[in-house]
Amino acid sequence: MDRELSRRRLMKRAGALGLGVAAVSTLKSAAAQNATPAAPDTSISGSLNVAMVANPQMVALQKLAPEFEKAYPNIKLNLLVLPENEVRDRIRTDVSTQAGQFDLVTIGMFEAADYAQQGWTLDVGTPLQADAAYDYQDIFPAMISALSGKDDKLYAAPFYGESCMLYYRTDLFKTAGLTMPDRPTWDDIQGFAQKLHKKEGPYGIVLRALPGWGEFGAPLTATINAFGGRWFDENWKAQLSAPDSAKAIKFYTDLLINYGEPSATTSGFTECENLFVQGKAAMWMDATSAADLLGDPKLNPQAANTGFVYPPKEAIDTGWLWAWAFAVEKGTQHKDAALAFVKWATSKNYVQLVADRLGWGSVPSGVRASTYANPGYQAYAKGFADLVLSIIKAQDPTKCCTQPVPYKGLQFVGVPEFVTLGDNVTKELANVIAGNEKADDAIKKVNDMANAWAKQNGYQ
Amino acid sequence: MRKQRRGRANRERASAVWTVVAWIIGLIFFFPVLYIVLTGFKSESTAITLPPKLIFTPTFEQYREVISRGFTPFFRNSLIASLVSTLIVLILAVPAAYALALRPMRKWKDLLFFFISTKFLPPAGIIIPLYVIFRDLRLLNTLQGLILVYIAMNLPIAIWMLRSFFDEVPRDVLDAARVDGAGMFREMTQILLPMIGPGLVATAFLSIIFAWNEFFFAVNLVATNQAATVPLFMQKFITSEGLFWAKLCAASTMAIAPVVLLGWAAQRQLVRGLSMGAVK
Amino acid sequence: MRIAVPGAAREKTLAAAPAGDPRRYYPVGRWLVAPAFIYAIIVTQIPFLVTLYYSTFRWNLMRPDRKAYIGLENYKNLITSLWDASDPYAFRAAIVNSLIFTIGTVLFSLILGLIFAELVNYEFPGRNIVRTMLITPFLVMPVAGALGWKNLMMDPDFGVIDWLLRATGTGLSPVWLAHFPRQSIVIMLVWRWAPFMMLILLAGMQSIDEEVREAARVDGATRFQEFIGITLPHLNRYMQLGALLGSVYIVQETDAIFMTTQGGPGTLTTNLPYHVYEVAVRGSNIGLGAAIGVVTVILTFIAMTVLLRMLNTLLRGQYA
Repeated sequence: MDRELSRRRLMKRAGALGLGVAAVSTLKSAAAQNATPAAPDTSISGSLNVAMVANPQMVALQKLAPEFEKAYPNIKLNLLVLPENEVRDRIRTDVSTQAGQFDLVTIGMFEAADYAQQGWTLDVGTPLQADAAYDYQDIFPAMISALSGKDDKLYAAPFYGESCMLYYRTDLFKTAGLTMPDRPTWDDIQGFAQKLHKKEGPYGIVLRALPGWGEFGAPLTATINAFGGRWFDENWKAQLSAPDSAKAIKFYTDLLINYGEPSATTSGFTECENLFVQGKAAMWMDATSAADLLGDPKLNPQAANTGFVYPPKEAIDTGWLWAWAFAVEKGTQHKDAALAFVKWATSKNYVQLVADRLGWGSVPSGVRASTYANPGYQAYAKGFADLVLSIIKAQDPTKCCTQPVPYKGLQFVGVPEFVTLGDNVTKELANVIAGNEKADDAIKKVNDMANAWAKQNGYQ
Repeated sequence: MRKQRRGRANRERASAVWTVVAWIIGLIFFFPVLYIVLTGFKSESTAITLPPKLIFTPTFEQYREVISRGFTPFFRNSLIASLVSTLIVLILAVPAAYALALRPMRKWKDLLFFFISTKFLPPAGIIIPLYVIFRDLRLLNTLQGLILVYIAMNLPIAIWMLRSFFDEVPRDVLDAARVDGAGMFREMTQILLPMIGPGLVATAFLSIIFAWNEFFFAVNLVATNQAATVPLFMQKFITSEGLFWAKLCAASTMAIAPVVLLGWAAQRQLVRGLSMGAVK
Repeated sequence: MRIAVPGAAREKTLAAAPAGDPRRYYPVGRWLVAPAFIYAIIVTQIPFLVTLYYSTFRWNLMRPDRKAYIGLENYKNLITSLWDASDPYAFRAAIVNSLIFTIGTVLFSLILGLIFAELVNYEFPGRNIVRTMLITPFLVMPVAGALGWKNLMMDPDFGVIDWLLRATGTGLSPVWLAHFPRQSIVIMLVWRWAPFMMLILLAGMQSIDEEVREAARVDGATRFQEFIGITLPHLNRYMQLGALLGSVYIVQETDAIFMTTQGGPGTLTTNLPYHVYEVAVRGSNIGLGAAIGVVTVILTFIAMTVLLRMLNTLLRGQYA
């Protein structure tokens, strides 16, 4: 206990110091841009267990991990890379029981503040700020604030950030004589999907419907919000069967049933991306982080024919804000090693390393201003970089809906127990898309589920 | 007596129609396995062509890829977990089964039923406390922890099976040994174990098969490749990542090969072992 | 509880044996059973008692601040939810699915296993190869088998089944796991368990006295008559044994569900064990998850005891 306290005091002092250094570094921003990082402290040792979500950017990180081990020869990395739903189960259980199977985990805006509040994760912001070469100020303030705890300290260092946008195939649009407007509405999208849909593919549109609050739950919630709906009103009364929400849910499920991919209910982010890359989709609305990959002809045969545009709007824009970020578990025995890895993986130099080794299509974007200022990236991403930046900047997690709500979060309900509700509601709606249930029945049922959930968890 | 009868079992030849039907059904049931194995030797683009290509130039590219993704530690962990747990299962089960069969005590049937009833306990009913207890004992994410669970998982079946084998040992043999003044230990090692040899092998095989294939405990109790077993490696393939069919199949083939080959080699013992005492 | 097990009939002679008989009760037996007994108690019974204890709490790992002792409330909620039309805990669905999967799989596996056993019980060219092919699915790692079914057989775009349906001009191309989720799970499970039943029934067939068969053949019985008149009656208790052992494993099935449908779509493939995983691990709801686990154990125990009793009646008949 005593040791714990003194450690905290030390960290605080280090934090104050770090802030000063960071302030100086922004003054000489030109110098900071080119500052070579301090040589890695090779005396740091330990075996690091890292749990990561199996998205393309993390798979790239996995490929480059030997570089880290080269720089820190005494640190041994054990990377566990699993699909989103599976890795989330592992991480949530490990962190909340303080089991300590992992030292480092990838979490996002849904968890960061809450885990910090429970005292499950360590402050990473303070040590990162202390390193001038890391250039903390380069990270978008929106990312920092969404990943900070109530004490305004950063508890998860963002690796890549995203909102959502619409991808479409310019060649298919041209052949069909269609033009994508700058700011399409969901009605426009439905019209296009109807005209472009083919039973054997390409499908009119691909969207996620793989059950899971973070999979199907994200675009679904964003669409509900866009239609002027919400999950709950100010008194935590479920609003999923209220007219605006119900209309959005029905729209989404109908769109997929009529013009979507046949395997919708098993399609999450990666499956949708595959379908698009394989030329099986005329349109796809999903995370902006996919843009980097889709722009690379080596990774996407349709790259030359891929168009990028704002996500559809209805009452408001469809939107979300997310970052996959590294958090250090409080129980870790290898704090220094964990911090060294976080610093390495979220640094500017890492972005450059990925660009050099694997190409710009694999870089983790959406987090650092310097990435967007990099001439190499600008040249590579001229079709979408500005668009992505303007979409990300427009997101505000405290204002999800046209009507007031008692929670934070754009594509999720920002309370810890939402996992269960989000999972169950998306499961039920997937059943509608599978054709086993009527949308109206399911909407009534999920609304009941939401009310029962709110009661059970003490919100109502 | 039994052997003799089995040796003569149904020598009658089947008709041609019967033969064709049997082969067709066999091939249909075997097809998924065959297709998995074949696809593992294809390139990713050949893997998804339809109609399925049955003749192609085999490549080991996918195997190299799967191994380069760190398959080896999973395989090693699986080997250790299934072999060590099986060994301990036999060490615990042989004396228990011996006692239940040949040195019956009062309420021995209740005891036997108790062992079998632990098998009725779904893993889901104990997984939460196991996780917490393992966390506190620092057994999470260790092979030792997994082995502890696999022993409990296979112990009941092993006791039940071995008891039925001990049960079949003719009483005269035992009586003769006792008249000779053989002690219990000698009776066990020199007379009984050789006689129930096939039963021991069958029990060990079944225990290895169940431990090798086990997923639920593994997914909840271990996390990293320090202790993770092959089924957890397969978990990575729940969602697709680009073209992954051939890689999935290469990994599957390596995952299933040891136990499938073992089972093929031990077919007769499995027939005998699985019917556990019901066969006389 | 008086449960008879194979060999029970001998106990009568044991009890009646004179004091000098070497087969009377041996006190030493107790010590030989002790290690296994103590081990089973520690690793299975103690955690179960802890599960019972946890089930009396409102306890979500994500909200440690709300942890509280609530007595039997979790059970009350679960049981009353059985009559709630919207099935808010998906508990009714889980019970129904468990029944469907277990009974469906055991039934179809037994029927197929019987056919397979009869097929390979006769001599024909390649008989050993056919038998080997037929037992293989039982040996295949369930998670690998399930992934194979999902991606190679049942995938709407690249799966062999849908390709066959298209190629034969049926115009059908169902998305198996979405349109027929329960059937798909049962297909995968039957594929795995029919070989198991075959193994047991084969052992039964091989224990039929060949002279009885000869006699029937001499009397001019057809193969079908021989099957109905001799094989089937003899196999009765082997089928019971297969049903018991199969049920023990199938009722606990989570692997195929985890790898393919994850309980969905909706709650169509959520069985009790998977539901415990969903609630306790995925949903971090330890209290409710523990309560579902306890109910699962109780229901399984009742079902298995009934089955075991049925089995024993038959086995006792054999010894009498």
